[in-house]
Amino acid sequence: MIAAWRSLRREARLTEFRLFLAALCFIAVALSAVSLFGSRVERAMQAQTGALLGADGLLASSRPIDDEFARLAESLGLRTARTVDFLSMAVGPEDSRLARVRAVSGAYPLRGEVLTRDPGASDEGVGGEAIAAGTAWVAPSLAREQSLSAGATLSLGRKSFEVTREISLEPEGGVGSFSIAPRVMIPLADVDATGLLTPASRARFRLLVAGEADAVSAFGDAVEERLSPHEQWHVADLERDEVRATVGRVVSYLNLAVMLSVLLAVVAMAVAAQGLWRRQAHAGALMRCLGARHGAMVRRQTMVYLLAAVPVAASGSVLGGVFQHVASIGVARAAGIELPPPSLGPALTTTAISVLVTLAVMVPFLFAQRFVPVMTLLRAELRDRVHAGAIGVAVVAFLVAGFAVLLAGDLVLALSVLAGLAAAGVVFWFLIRALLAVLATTARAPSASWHIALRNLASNARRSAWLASAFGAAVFALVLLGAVRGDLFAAWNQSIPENAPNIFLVNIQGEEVDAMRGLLEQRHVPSERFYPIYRGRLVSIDGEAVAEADFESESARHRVNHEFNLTEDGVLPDGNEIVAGRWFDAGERGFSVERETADSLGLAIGSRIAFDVAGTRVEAPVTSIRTVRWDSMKPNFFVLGSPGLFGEAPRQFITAAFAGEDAGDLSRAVNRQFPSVTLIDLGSILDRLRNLVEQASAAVSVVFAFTLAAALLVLVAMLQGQREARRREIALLKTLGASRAQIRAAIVAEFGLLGAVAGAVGGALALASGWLLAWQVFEFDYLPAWHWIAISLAGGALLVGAGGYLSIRSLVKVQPVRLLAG
Amino acid sequence: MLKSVFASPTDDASHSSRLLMNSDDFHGNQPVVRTDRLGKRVSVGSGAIQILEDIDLTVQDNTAVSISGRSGSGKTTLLGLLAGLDTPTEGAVALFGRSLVNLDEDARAALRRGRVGFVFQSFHLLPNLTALENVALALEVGQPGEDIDARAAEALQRVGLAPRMHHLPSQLSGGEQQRVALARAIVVRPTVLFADEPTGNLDHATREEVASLLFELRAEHGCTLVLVTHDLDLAGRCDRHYHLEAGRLVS
Ligand SMILES: Nc1ncnc2c1ncn2[C@@H]1O[C@H](COP(=O)(O)OP(=O)(O)O)[C@@H](O)[C@H]1O
Ligand SMILES: [Mg+2]
Repeated sequence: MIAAWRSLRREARLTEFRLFLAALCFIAVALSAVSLFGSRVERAMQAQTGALLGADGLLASSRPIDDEFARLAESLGLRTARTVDFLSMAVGPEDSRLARVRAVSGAYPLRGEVLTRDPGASDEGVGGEAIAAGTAWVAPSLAREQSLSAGATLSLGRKSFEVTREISLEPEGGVGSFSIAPRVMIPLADVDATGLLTPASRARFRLLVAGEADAVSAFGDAVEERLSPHEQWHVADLERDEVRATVGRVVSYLNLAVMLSVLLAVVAMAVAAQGLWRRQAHAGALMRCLGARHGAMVRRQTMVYLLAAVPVAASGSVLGGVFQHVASIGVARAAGIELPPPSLGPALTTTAISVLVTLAVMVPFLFAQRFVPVMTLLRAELRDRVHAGAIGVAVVAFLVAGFAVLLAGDLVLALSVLAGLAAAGVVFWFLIRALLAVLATTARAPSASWHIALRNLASNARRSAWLASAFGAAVFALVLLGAVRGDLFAAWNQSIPENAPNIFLVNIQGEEVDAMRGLLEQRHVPSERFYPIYRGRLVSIDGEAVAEADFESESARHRVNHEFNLTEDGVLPDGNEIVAGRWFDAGERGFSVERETADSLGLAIGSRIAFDVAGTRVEAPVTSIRTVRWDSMKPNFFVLGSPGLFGEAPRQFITAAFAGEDAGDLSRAVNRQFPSVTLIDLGSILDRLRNLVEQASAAVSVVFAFTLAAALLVLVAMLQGQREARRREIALLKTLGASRAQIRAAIVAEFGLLGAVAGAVGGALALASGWLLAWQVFEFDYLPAWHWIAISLAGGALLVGAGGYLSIRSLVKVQPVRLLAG
Repeated sequence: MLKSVFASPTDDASHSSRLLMNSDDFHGNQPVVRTDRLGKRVSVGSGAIQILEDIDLTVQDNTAVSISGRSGSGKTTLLGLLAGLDTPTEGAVALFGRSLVNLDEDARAALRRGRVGFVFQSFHLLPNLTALENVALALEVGQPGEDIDARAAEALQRVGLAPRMHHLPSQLSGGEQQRVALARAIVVRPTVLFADEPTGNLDHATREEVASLLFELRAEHGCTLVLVTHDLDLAGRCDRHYHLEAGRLVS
């Protein structure tokens, strides 16, 4: 141990070792910045979807929920809140009305917020208020219908409440709730005083929890074990249809960013490691000459790298944490969204990964040293036969593959990138070598400098190809991320055209449809079709009754457990695409099922499914399976019936409309004319989400640029590592009579050429990889941005040319004799 | 064709008894190095070249032996074989009475440990180690113990570099670097010192200085010296001479 410390101190004097550690530090910084930030954005997204549920998870029951569950949740560090929902007559000054009463504890909601305003006002409302004892908040429709103003009295059972606010937005106000009765919210503590809750009354008791994702799922697991038949456990996952498409893409994009950063950093590190390998090979040969045993040396050196890597990786991770914290402050401010605090987990993982990368880069080499003959000490030319580069390529390939798959989690994403990478590796190596050979033999050099540059490229084919590949990898990663990002947002913007619907109108009664249509037309508000909605519970598949217990997946259980919103339609809605079977023929009876629903319930074309719609059994075969564009913001349905399928079953109508900025106005008009119609404003939710996505992605690009800077730094380090060889070449050129200007021009030409080739090939491969990703992962139409190739070609030529020149500039001034002396 | 007498210890009893013994039993009146029809052949491309052929030589303890010859005659190759840095393709070689033929690299290294010193044409000091640390390295590997730094400092003092003890090789001249290398070679009090063109990279004045120092140190420690050089002047100071011509010894 002491010996290892001493070795470490000595090793630290090597420029190569310091560069290697700098690369390691960059890996840790980049990894931790991107992954911490990514996980925080992902959690923020999760919280956003949680906002739609009011919690990260909730336990619902038809009976009061045992305190034991709340204690369990709290012991896991989760915050909790309780609600009780029941229907009751609300007696106002004018009339009485059936209301959906929700009694809430002080902490409700745990995610998202209840926005309230003065009764009758039309502003967005403010959040964060707790409901005071003896007061009630009411839905706008109720306030209007009953002319409730602030201070009015509303009675529920035996207790009177003072109406203080009107609810403009509440969690779970999404598209899914097609409710009949208006909402009244009261404090949980006042429920008993109403006398409305008796053991016989129908109510829904809920325990909401929120906190660390791990704790939530631990709680969920514990709860599910002792769930009684009357209890259900729900989680807010990224399964919400309206947001899933968006969030899924962002998460994939973040994964991609993390993966490419790791890729780049590992390549950078391997580059930095090369110089170290050379030193190590020399020191190893000398030690063995002095009588050291190979195994002992491997152990000693491994120890040295561990001792160095652990603190460097740890501090790099912390630095990355600081970096992403600064970035996240910007995001929080710009998007108006609070990111959850960073967690220690990713920092530890990052440290561990960085240390592993170090060991993976160095330890195989230490073992490979056995093959470095001690005779290299006596015979210098043997040194050139130590193909550290070949080991390097193998190590890098292995590492990249391993980590990519590990980190991406998303196999398709990982494989797409890896395919691009493998192609890049092969193409780089062979294309560049071939290209250089062709250049050297056929190109007519316009000047002596060009001639020297071309010859140098050709005669050092291996070195040139290695340099070009390292730089090409950087170009590949950057262009891929840049291009995909651009296309991601282009696709997102396309999928939500400027006049995409931003409000939903639900609970429209059949006789109100014409009047509603008239109102919208009169106000020039474009709307979708009016879809009839039937509420139905899935009762049998192929003649067998279904029960929740028959299904494994959470989503299938959920579907079986809840009523479907069913509609019937003779025309395939926009954004829907038939993937199996065919659309209804005239007069045919059947169901068209959304693909994932069909998958989770095990439905295929021809499966007979039956729904219980208000007491009537409606049974028909599945005649088609559809995909649905959830982010189209239009009414979408899991299950569609053929026209007339539901007969005379009770129904309501739903439509979506684009009200632009006038949503508030429209809301008032609708409230006045159609008190029972609920207007859901999706715009605000989606705006916030969209904002978050854009900011997150911008910040990730910043983080990625940081990684690129690391790669560039190591590129310079690599050029630095060539100084010895270059020194000899320049001396030779000088003795042959080349002028300084000629040599300088030759260097710039050589590196510029190398950079141009690397940039062009890297850019082209990135576009190919991007196409694969767009097609397989992000599912949008990809427009290859050819200009990227030109940009990366020019950028490569400039950067590598300038870098090469800067790193070798000082050698040009030296006298040839001095050069030879060293 | 040629069958190695060392291929198996039981093959040839007469040779074995004479040449093979436990290296720990090695003492002064045995040859330090001995070869038997030693040869080295390497394949180059599709063909092969015979670099060394039929080398028979014996280096007695406490003698200075020179191996000279023109550039490319195989001197360095021979030195590598004698010191166990390389393996022969034909014949046999024994160091300290121990055959090197069937030993793996670790075993050959163990045989050298603490008993062999090296001086190279291009010094081979580790660039990140100070003069003192470079010298101490030989002790750390060969004779670990308490007083490593003191012994290393003493060796440096002996070669006249005490004031430069804490300098890195890049801060020393060629001659000074080679003197550090000499200190590293003798600090373990080796039984045998192998030197390959120790003055080859030095200018005329320093060459003489380093050469004198080499022979002084050898005399002081009473160690065997195997010196490869094409410099006949230097070779002349040795007790015994071998001359290589195109891979064969001519006496
Ligand atoms: N591993 C090898 N592969 C090919 N040729 C070699 C190898 N080792 C030595 N040689 C050749 O063998 C000859 C003798 O080399 P060397 O022992 O270095 O001679 P010296 O030290 O006398 O100059 C040279 O022609 C050299 O090129
Ligand atoms: Mg030689």
